[in-house]
Amino acid sequence: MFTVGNVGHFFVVASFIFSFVFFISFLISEKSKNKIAWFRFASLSFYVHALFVIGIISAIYFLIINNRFEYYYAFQHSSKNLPIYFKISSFWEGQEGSFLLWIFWNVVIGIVFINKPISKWTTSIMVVLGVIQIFLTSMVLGVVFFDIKAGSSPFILLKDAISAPIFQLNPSFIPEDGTGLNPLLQNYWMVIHPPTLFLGFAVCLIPFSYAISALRLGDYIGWIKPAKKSLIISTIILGIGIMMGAYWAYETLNFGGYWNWDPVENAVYVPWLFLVASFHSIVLTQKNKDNYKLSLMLSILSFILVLYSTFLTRSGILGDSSVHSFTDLGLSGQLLLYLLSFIFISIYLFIKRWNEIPSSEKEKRKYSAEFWLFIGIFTLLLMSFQVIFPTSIPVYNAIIDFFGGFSNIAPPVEKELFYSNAQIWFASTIAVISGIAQVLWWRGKRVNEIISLFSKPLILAMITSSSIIILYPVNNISYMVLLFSSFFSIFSNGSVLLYFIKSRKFVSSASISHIGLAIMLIGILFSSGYSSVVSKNYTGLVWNNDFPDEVNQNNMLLFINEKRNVGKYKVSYLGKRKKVVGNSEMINDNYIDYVPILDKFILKKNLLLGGISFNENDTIELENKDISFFEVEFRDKNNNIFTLYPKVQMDPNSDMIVFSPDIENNIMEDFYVHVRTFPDPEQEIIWRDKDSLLIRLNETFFLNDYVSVVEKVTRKNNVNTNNRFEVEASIKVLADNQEYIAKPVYIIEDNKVGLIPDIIDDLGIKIYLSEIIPETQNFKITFQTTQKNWVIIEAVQKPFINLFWLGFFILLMGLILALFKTNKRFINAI
Amino acid sequence: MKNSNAISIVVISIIVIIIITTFADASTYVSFSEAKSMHNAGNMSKIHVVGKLNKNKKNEIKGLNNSESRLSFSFDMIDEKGKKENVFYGEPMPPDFLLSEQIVVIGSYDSERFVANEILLKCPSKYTENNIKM
Repeated sequence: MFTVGNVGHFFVVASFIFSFVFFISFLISEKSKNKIAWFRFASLSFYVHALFVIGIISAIYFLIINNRFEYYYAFQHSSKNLPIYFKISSFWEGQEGSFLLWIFWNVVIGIVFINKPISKWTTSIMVVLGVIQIFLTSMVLGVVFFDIKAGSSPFILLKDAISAPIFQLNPSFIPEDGTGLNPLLQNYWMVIHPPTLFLGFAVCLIPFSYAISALRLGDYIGWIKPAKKSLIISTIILGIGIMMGAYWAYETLNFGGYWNWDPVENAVYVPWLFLVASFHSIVLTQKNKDNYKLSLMLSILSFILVLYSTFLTRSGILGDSSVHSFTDLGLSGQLLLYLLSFIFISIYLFIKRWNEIPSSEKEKRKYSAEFWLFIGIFTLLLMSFQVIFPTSIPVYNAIIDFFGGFSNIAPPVEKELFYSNAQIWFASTIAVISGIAQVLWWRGKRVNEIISLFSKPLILAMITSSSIIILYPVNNISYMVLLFSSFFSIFSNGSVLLYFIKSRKFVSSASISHIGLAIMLIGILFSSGYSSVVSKNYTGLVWNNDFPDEVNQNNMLLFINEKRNVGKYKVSYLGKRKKVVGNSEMINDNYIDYVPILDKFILKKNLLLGGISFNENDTIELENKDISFFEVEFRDKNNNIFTLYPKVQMDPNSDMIVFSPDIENNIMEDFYVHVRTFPDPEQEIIWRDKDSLLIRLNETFFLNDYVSVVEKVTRKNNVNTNNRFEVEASIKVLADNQEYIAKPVYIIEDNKVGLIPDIIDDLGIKIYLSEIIPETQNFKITFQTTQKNWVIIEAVQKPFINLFWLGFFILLMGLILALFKTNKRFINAI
Repeated sequence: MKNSNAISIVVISIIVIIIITTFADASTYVSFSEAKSMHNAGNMSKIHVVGKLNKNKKNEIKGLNNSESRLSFSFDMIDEKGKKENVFYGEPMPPDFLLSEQIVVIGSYDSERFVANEILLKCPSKYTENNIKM
């Protein structure tokens, strides 16, 4: 039968088979006399493989976009009312989708290589790519060979995936809606971060393939230039991918930072450091015709570490130590096989070729750039080791367990401190070495010049860092060292930049990158080391005796429309807001009423919103009714005002409550505010005793101290039965410059009176229109009150965080320049 | 001595230092009763306990107590040895807490209850429970 699922699964199997076909044909083409013909055939089968991969992805998108919830993947990761851009990202919420993303990028890389002139390198790289594609496509195969399940198919039907009782009653049951995308991932960064990260993973295979090919072909010279270029590309793309993740964490998650040393983060940080180390190693090899072994090893290890990180995050082995790891899909064995195969292939090739690889016994002089570059590479490797060794603790437990032993070691408890306290010293060392090596590389020709070369940057770094240390003040030794090292790096690399300008050479891309890194380090130092909570509880009240002191001291309780001091600001919470589709301004939650039958909202008053005027009783559509924004206004002494909208998303599918911060970006610091908690909407409200007032139309009266007026009373005309009389009053309540609307309803049907009250949630008032007295034209208004609305917020200042992002952009610019400089035509043009 | 030998000695000693500090700072996975006896013996170090929420046959969670302000909560957790213990967490409930199939609490005992400083959750890849919400 031709269902989308069957066709999709056929594509999966076909792409798997064709990855074999093109792998073997490229392999034959290497040895065959008929090289060109075999290469053509291999390319053709690669294109067939590529088409099937695109077919798989299109089929999954077809299921997701058409809401085919009888398929498990669509049911599990998507839902009807997801906007299209989140439907796109729901594709890679699951493991199968993210493997396919990786497979897709590998296909793109393959297309690029296949279109290069035919050479032994192209063929060998396609052979390596073939092995990788065989493994990756097997991860989504979902076929059982002799009781062993290979891969998890994205095309299984819901009824085959879960044995819900409903399928016994009705085998053709199709759920109305999917369970949707995790609210944490409903963020535009999650639309572009995973594809970038997986592209980063995919490009790591290029330097790896070059190194493996160098070993296979026994050519240790030819690989260096192209591998260097691909290492720069990998460093750029994986770097961007990591930073996007960091920015997403900063903006969406409310732990208050961009980096948490979570195993999942560590698992991408380490391969990136290795890429940087292998890039520097290959620069050394290119210049000195030396260190071939180190360069080969590092290029290979960078990719092996990418595989290792995939294994860590996807095998479920980190389940006890990470906040966000994938759950085991039963693929851990397959992943391990994949990882070990690549390790053994690499080791085998190395042992086979070890004595052939050129090496020199030349001793490096202490004052040479090469010596310092070498030290820098080893510092990077040690820096990585300090992170990956503790992160792998669950792996040691698993290994000991496997051999029948028992081990209960757990990762360090305060991981932020554990990692930062060590990494800060490595980072300082890197900064200093980057300065020394860069200056010596370009200018260290004569030994007697060296002291004068370093005296200026040294003195400048001393002056700048010590004045900042005294003025800020910085009072932690490791921070002082990092600050000095970063400034030394800026000034010494800066001196090389100046030298380039003076001698009319093109810019030094390395200096730019090193300066960028140093600026990043300063940004990290201040934004993390001196991030301070400004929402200190000065009221003397304890929010709750049960809380740890920290919670009571660092959070501020804000009642609606009441001003409190937070840092240098007067702060007031103005109420809950919602986002209207296609409108830039947010709407007060009080002005809209939800009508469940229509799944729409009705306006309670005329209003102007974002330049568009709306009338009472118009229906409006919200972007997402589960998301509320808390409008919090900050006013400083000079009456400068800014407003932040920290948000909460209550996911109806999973009962998840997700808070996200809002950030005021200033040049000097970020002001980061998130809501810790607000009144539980599901909690029963305890109303105080009723109170009544007798008033006339348009007469001003006081409702719980708020100036109020009955603006109009309208007979509802949509009721066509004679024995029903329905009247709605529109009451305006003014509280601290904000207007609220309540619309209680009075009904008489068959001589019985019914009252429908309206609640002004923010002010904690429930209002009834309890009597209409025609003779005197009076209305009786009854009301009950309760606690006003409130939120508890935490506000944090992050000084100089912009330096972190700025430094990264400079680092990136340097790398991009370095990439251009690998191109001869570009160099000749300038 | 050659430079390369000096470098190797430095590198190896740093590696040794990293390994030693890792194991010195490493925590342990224990059961509630072991944690209790550690506390009674005056050992204040923070440990990991792995367990599950206390659910009855109908999959309802028992012993969950959210504070009025929802800024903290406490819950009953059953460790891998089957011992039930009340755990207090001074932070709002993590978003996917109720869905978790496994919980790791990191912290230590104070006088009576276990106080968690950090909670790690292992969630089924979302809603793999054998029920479909209608």
